[in-house]
Amino acid sequence: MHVTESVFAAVTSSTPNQFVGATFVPSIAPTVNVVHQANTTTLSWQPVSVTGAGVVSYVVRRISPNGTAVIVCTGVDAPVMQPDGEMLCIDGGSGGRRNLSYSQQPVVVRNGVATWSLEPSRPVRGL
Amino acid sequence: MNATLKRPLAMFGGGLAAIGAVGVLTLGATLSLFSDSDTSASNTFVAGTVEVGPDGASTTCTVGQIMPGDSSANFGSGSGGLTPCAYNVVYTGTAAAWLAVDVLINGGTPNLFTGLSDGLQFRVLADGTTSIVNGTSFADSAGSSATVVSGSTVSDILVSGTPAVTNDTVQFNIDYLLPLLAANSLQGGTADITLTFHAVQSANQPIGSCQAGRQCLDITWG
Repeated sequence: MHVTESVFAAVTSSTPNQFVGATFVPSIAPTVNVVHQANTTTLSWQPVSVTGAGVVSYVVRRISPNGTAVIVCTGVDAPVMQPDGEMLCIDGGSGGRRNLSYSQQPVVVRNGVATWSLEPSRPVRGL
Repeated sequence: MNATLKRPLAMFGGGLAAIGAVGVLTLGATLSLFSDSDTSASNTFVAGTVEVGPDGASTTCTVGQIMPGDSSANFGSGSGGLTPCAYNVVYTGTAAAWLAVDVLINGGTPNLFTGLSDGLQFRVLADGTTSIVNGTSFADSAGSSATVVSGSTVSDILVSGTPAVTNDTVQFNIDYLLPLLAANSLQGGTADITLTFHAVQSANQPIGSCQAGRQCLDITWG
């Protein structure tokens, strides 16, 4: 004999609580515009923003022909937004060498910790 | 010939009618009995009810553009600047009942909830004391820590070791954190968390080895 047991029961559900992660705009790091002077190199690029809380910083790399990368535009030489909206910094250690390439990488730093970032931009050689 | 035959039949028929009449009188006297009847008061059976529903002001979270380091006010770490989610429910049935909650976390592509320490963390508390989900884990029926898996319901976490009665309320609070070490691959990811609150009669359902804050398998939840 088959017996089906039954109990009184009831149920109610919450509305789903939704979470969406922030994104960078644009989603691909803009390339660097490189202009060599006699002993320095001026670097500029379009800024990147993030849709959530946080400020975007930039890691700028000088890349030698052998592939060695050095981080530049730090400290007092950190990139600064220009009146026209472009980011700009000057690499004072380039010696004006024209065989150097540069890339920049947007990074969000929170509480002193580098969190989300974009892939570095495609390296670009100067004019 | 025919007339001769009809007369005796008619006489015979009249005799039968007379006998029948006497019989009816006799029978009628036999069936006329003294009788009486009485009806008991109605025996009324009213079934108890088991009902649950939302209770006033719940806070459904829609957290857009969450960043590593962001957290809700009561998570205990992170920015603490975001609003916790709250889900308030009330038991309105007339029969005493066991209460339990199911938790379902779903994610998109990418999924903010990885089930690891580098993804979205949830802390679900019932009435501020009973832990339902802690970060990415919950307590199974034996009290051991088990990992919440996205897309798989964590079912039947007992809310209290005492059956609920009419108008008992439960507040579920959901706090959350996206840790600083959240991977770059989670940018633009999504996740959602849904709580399902359910009740079942406690009559004829002993609690067995179930404990509040653990999955309860000794009760038939319906």
